[in-house]
Amino acid sequence: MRPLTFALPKGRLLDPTLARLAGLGISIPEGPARQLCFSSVDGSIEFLLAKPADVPTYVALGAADLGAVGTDVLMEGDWDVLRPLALGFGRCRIVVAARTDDSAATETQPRRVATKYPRIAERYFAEQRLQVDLITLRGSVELAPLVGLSDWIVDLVETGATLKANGLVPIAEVASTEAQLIVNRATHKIRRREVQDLIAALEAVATC
Amino acid sequence: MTTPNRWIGACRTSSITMVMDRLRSVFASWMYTEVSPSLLEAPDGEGRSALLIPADRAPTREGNTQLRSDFTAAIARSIALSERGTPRPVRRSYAGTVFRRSPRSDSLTEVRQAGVELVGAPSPAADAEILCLAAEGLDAIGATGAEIHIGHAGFVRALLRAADLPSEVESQICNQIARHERTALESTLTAAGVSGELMAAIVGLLDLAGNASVIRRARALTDDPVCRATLDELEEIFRLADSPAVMIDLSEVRDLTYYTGIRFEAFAPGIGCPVLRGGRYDGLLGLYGDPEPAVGCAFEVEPLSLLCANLDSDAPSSMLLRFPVDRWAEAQTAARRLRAAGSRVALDPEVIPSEEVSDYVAANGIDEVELLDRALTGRPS
Repeated sequence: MRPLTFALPKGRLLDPTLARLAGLGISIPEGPARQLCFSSVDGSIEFLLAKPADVPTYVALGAADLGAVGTDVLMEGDWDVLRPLALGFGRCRIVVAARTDDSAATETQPRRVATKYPRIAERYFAEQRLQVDLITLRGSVELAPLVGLSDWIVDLVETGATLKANGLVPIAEVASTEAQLIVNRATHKIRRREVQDLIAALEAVATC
Repeated sequence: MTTPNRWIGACRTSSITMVMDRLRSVFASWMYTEVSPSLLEAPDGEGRSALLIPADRAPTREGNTQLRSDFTAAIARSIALSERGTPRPVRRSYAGTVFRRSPRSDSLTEVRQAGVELVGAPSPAADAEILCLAAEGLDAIGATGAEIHIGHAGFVRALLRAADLPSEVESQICNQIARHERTALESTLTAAGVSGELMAAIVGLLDLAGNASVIRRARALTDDPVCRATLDELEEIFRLADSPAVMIDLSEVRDLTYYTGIRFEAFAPGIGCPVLRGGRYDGLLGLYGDPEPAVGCAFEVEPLSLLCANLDSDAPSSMLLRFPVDRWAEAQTAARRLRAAGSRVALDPEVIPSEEVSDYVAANGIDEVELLDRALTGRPS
């Protein structure tokens, strides 16, 4: 039977994911990281390297059996994947942030809110019964209030340093996030023992 | 905006046709009569489409018609309204295309399905019949190693009813079970005041998958009489189905509003989505007429067609008949004789350059090249 295929997220979650797998003796070959598909050194796992927002797509549609991704990505989509294990790293918060001189509390007109997470933001403001105009951006969301594009932003914050450097402060927390192991539903059915063993091993190595 | 989103080439079409043909043959051998519901139908406000297919996935509606999104509702409606007096049970099959709106884009997706509905027959024998037919269908397609995972909507429903949770909490718990979010599930149950044996039973659902021993483990989790009754029924269905391809999976909690008894999905190695779905839907026919028991399943044809590459074609042998164009009439005579003998014959009045014939034959799955003189005399030319 072919090895399981694991979708790795590029960016901040990549190194801790590889470190967790290394704890199981699963390591990747050294060398220039230009390939997007490669095998573990021991050949037990095939890896895909994907943008974090695409990891659930690869797993949901069966191009990968498993993957690691932030819960922010899962909250933004509606992915039909299993989420059996919170990996315990990559902890962040999704916050509403405003300029330090923001006067939202005294104004009543709809606020303009820039975000990479339109669905999360829409749900949050609906729950808060706040009417806002959402502006979807692909990145560098902190820029929007600085140039008058928006009043607030909804964005992922790890330490808050980027917000602070751009004169922004969190004014509300929307959700907390962390890295999550996700599994293709069909793989979990048909290779259950193998997948359950891997989940148990990843859980065990986290608590060591 | 509605956009056509797929064009399927000759090679895939051939595999899809082979799957459809083999399934039709299995359905016919079990005496299921094929029906062909209309491609355009009235919007189904009450039936399965409304129960199972979210509004945002329903296909384009034009006035009082929409593209068909499901076969089962149309067949159930027809049986309930037009075949009320006919003897039961009724066995019907179908094979064709349904249309769904992709949840991630604004385009329609064509989904090819073939399936069966057995109306007027109660569990457990009718359920076992559908499972046996499903296993035979998967065999006929060459789905080696495929597994059919069966659960029971009644078991999960009874277990959750015992917890007596507000509907929004129950919905949250179902989502967490469906996603196998064990830690979050434990937190939600604790916050809802569920503890002890009941909590262990609900969390234990996540591990209730495997062979017949699952039913024994499930019995150990609960004394609830409804749960016990559903496990008895499931055990009997499992015994009657008697197939190594059938597995028990009580962790499945999706579609509880639609299924009333067993629900199942089949999976094949290397295919990342279910290749078959089905279950008992005793609540559906009552929406159109008198309530009746019903069970059925639908094969997902396109994923299954990926498994056909290694199967021998059902088609007869094929040949390319080469001849000079000025001998057209003789070639027609020879081709007619060969076709009458059971071969498929493509004509080539030497349009294909001789050095390209072997490539053409390979690309089109043609078994051999025949020259006209040899075809006429049976001797080498």
